[in-house]
Amino acid sequence: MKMIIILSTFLFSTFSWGYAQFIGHGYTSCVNCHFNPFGNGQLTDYGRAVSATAISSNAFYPKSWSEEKISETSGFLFRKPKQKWVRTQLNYRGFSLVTNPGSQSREEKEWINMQMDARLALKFGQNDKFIFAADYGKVPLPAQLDPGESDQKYRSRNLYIGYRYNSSVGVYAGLMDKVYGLRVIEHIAFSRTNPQITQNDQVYGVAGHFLKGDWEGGVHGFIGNYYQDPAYRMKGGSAMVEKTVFNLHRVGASFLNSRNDFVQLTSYAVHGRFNLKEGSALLAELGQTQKKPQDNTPSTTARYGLLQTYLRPARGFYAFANIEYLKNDIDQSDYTVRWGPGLQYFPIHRLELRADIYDTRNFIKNSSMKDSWMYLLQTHLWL
Amino acid sequence: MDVLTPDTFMAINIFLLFFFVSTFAWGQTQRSDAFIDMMSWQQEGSVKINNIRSNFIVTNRALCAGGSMGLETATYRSFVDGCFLYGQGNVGAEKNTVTYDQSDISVYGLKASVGSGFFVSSKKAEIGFKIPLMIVSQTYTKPNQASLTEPSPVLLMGSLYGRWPFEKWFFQTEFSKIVGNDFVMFSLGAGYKF
Repeated sequence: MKMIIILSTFLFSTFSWGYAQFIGHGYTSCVNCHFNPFGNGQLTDYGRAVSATAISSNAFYPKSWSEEKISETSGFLFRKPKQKWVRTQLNYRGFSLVTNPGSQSREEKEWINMQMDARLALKFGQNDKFIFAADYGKVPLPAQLDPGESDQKYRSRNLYIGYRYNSSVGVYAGLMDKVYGLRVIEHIAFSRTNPQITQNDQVYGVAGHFLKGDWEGGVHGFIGNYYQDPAYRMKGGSAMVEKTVFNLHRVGASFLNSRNDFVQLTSYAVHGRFNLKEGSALLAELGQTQKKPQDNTPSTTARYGLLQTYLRPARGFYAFANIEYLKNDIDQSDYTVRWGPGLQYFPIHRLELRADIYDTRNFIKNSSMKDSWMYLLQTHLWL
Repeated sequence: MDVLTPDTFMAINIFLLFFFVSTFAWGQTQRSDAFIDMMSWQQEGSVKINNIRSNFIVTNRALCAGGSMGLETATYRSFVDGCFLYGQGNVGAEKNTVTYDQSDISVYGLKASVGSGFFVSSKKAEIGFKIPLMIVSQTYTKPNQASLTEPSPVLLMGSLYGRWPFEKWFFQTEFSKIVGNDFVMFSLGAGYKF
């Protein structure tokens, strides 16, 4: 039965996002491949070409096709765009989720359509100085909405304009992800849930981006997400800085402070992205988030850690592990470790197949319980 | 969730044999290193108190310090490694009608492995399989007028490991399935190559 679930997901195709681990291919900055200089969102023409020629396998292309030919087919209409100012993208991401596999009483299976959206980017001016980026699509609703969380099934996660003064400096205004930490794809990661930078935590604001020599950074001021009720909108600011070291790796630090009518969050972290060449990489982040209720009840500080390991045995094929640590209250001894080995395969450009196993282990004083397990079998389609 | 079936175990053995042979067949270099790992594993025992039997889970965490020796070519590495481990474990009964909890009970032991892997980058990032054997000693409290079946002190596993070198230093991870039950061991460590 488990094999049937695994095979069924391989019938679908997937699309490729940029991922922070592509530092393993020598890309230290996200601005190389993304319209958003901090990563995520729509790929540029160069990003599509990189996806087709460096990330994805070439095994299913005709042997007579050169890398240049493959690159030319990476455009939206499977050819090089004939104009410079409009770029579009369609995305689908879905996965089969199995929790507590093998348990007769606790096993649960469901298929989740995680993402279905259309994206648009408009570029104007010399060297694409001016950009407009937007997306709109269907999002899954959780089984139980958090207070103030929007119940809209269709929404935008990116809606902004950008101006690049030069190759070093740019400013962006609109709905975007907060500038903080490693922008990893796993939105359930403790490093994303604690500072509230998950898949629906975009905010309206203004962000500045700086890239010069070995240094890159950003600052972001924001007024909340208008899909939420006003009392729940997180307003505040964040900043991130990174430095290239040994011409290969990036080390950095982030800070974020935001508040709504109920809680103030203050997060800070250090992180690193390490290039082990030919697609192999290590990502690491260690941070803390202080949660201070606005009703003067005592605040708590959570500590989290993330280590993502990537090994690329062959072009298009990655073996990885998400290793996470969470202590919900640094004044208590209990903590959680989540270990998630997985496989990621890009058989061809516009297609990603991914299998994850998540093993969550709780370390609790005077108690012990069996690990909880989750299988994720993910497919991505991208046009 | 027992994925380490006899067939899987045999497949891992064949894989290791292939890489061992490959390493010895071509020109090879002797290598050794030292490492320290943070590791965690679970085991299961059972206790009977007041005529109610319940399984109990032991969640252990330990440091394991040791080294490895092996042969490598430009593409493959085969090795044996061993480490001495020391740590603590927490115990909890699965049935809430049975009270059997302990905290921070000491555990010590030895872990030895044979393994093989291949390099996937010019920096010698590495992925491969290991077969670890672990022997541990841990003393459980036996309540009055109770019977106790302790977890086995011998654990045989099948592991997937990865290694990321930074010049002479390296990080390594290991994810292991314990043979004969549903439990896993995982470890994260660092080391130095001589």
